[in-house]
Amino acid sequence: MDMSLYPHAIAMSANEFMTWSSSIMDNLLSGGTKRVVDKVTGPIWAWAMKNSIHPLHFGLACCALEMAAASNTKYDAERLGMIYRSSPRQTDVLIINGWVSKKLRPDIRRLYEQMPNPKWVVAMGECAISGGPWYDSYNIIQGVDQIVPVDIYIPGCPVKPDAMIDGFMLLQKKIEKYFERGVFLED
Amino acid sequence: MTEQFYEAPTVEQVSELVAAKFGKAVQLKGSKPRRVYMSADKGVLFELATYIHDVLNFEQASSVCAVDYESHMTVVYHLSNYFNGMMIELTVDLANDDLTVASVASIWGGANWHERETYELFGIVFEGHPKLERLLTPADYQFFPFRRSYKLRRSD
Amino acid sequence: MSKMWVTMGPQHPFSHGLWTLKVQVDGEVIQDAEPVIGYLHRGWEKECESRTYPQIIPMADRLCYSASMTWSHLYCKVAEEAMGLEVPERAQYIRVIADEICRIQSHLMWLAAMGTDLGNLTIFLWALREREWFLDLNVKLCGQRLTTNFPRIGGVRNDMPYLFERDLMRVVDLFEKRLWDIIALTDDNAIFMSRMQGVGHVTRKEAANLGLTGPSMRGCGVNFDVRRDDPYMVYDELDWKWRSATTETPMDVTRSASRRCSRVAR
Repeated sequence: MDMSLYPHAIAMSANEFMTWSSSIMDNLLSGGTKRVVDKVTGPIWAWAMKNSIHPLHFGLACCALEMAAASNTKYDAERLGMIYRSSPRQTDVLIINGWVSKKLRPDIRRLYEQMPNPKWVVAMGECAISGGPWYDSYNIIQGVDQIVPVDIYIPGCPVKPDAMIDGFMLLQKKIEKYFERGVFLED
Repeated sequence: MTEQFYEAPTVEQVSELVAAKFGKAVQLKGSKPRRVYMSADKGVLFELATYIHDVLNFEQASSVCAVDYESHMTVVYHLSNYFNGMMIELTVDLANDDLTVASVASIWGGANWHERETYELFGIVFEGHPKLERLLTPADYQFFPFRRSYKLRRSD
Repeated sequence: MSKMWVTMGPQHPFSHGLWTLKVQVDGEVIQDAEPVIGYLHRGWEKECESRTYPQIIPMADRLCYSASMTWSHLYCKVAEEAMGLEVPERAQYIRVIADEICRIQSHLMWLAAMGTDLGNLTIFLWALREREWFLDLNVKLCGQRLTTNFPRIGGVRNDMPYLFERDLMRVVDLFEKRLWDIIALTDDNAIFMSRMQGVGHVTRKEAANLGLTGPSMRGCGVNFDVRRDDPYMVYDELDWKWRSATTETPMDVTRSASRRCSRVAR
């Protein structure tokens, strides 16, 4: 690459870098090449991302015990590639498995925002879906989708580990659809 | 102090000793095997609690909670003795316009958080408590949820 | 040496329960700590006011979800005492059996979580595997694994299913053998011992004063077990041994209790 064409390339702001690099990509790759690249790599992305779902180590309430039980030898969530990560910066999925109190609300929002894109949220159990048995509590949020956008709802009280794994297989389908279109296409 | 120390008093011993020392300020409401139920006046609470802890060897305040009868409120203490499995249930009535009572947190460490919780849920002030703040609910709650006057979403 | 306040926030990899622990550390030694709790506060008692009495039973299950049967059992006992109801003897035995199953699976969960904290993931898998047997027993008896909604005011929801005693005894016998494997992983483990012994020392007086109960209290030297010293239901009629405090005490006791209990109930 002839850097003399871009004498100001060293000192660029983030916006300038974005426009510069995307203009290069548009110059080098015509629309047809993008589509071919995506057709080839899209399924690979999808297969890789859906088989390595990394959820966050976040146990709230009763469903958390069943989430832990889903990792045991009988139900084995790890065959889906689920390795729990301790830091939200390293995770894909935020599993909300229990009732969300008003004290916890800002922390859940912050955890969600600390997760890098692409990210998904799974509402596990009745309490996360809609408040559950605590429907008239003064301290419980009636459904975690009031704070974070939820992708998969897994019903149950508490959720059987089979149901949780079933829910995660649905999430796998969703992830597959998301990545199959490839990374260059915007639609 | 020349008081005799009872490591594992029986139900009868507890009833007699408390009645002898505090007289009319403490009303004994009954007893069962390993249980004594009594009700005390607000003024003698701290002295009674000290007596129960030091002399009768009730080492643990298993729980401190309150009940809102609409005409008055009651603070209920459950005190346990682990040498003979006994429990004393001690109730103290409080008038609605004077919701204060002495804190027993200095006697039983376990009562510390229970009293904080009772304060934040009912609004009963425990005098002498080292840190009477909200424990469970978010700090910006302005109301006392467990009072009868506070209505939940669905209730009538 | 500078001291620093570190917040171990409500999300932490221990993943048992939500609480924040602000610790003041001097290097790696904790000098002071301040817990912040209340992330799971529901106002349970307030909600009970707008429910009928039987509707409270499944809510009581979720008070402490690791051993849920014990809490709904507690609530039913309170209601029965207030009403002056006498529970039939067979129901008492069934309640004790279900209680003990619940207690064992809760202790196994604790063991699994504690092992994970210390990095011993083998215990996590082994204890959870044994726990599945007891959860299967729960399913046979109550219909649900964890929050069973089994006791009713005045008894239990249903009688023991056909041949339940056979399954129960089979599980208990198998578990007894497996328990020794798990004990071998903890009691003789040098890493385990060096990380647990002497940490968080609580004297006997402090334990009773501050309100510790259950196995933690017995670990501090308070010689008290509610089932032996203040018995409820049929615990005083059961013939069982009480062993002194080791890592596995609670499970030993519960195992022997459930064996006697199921023999009697048959």
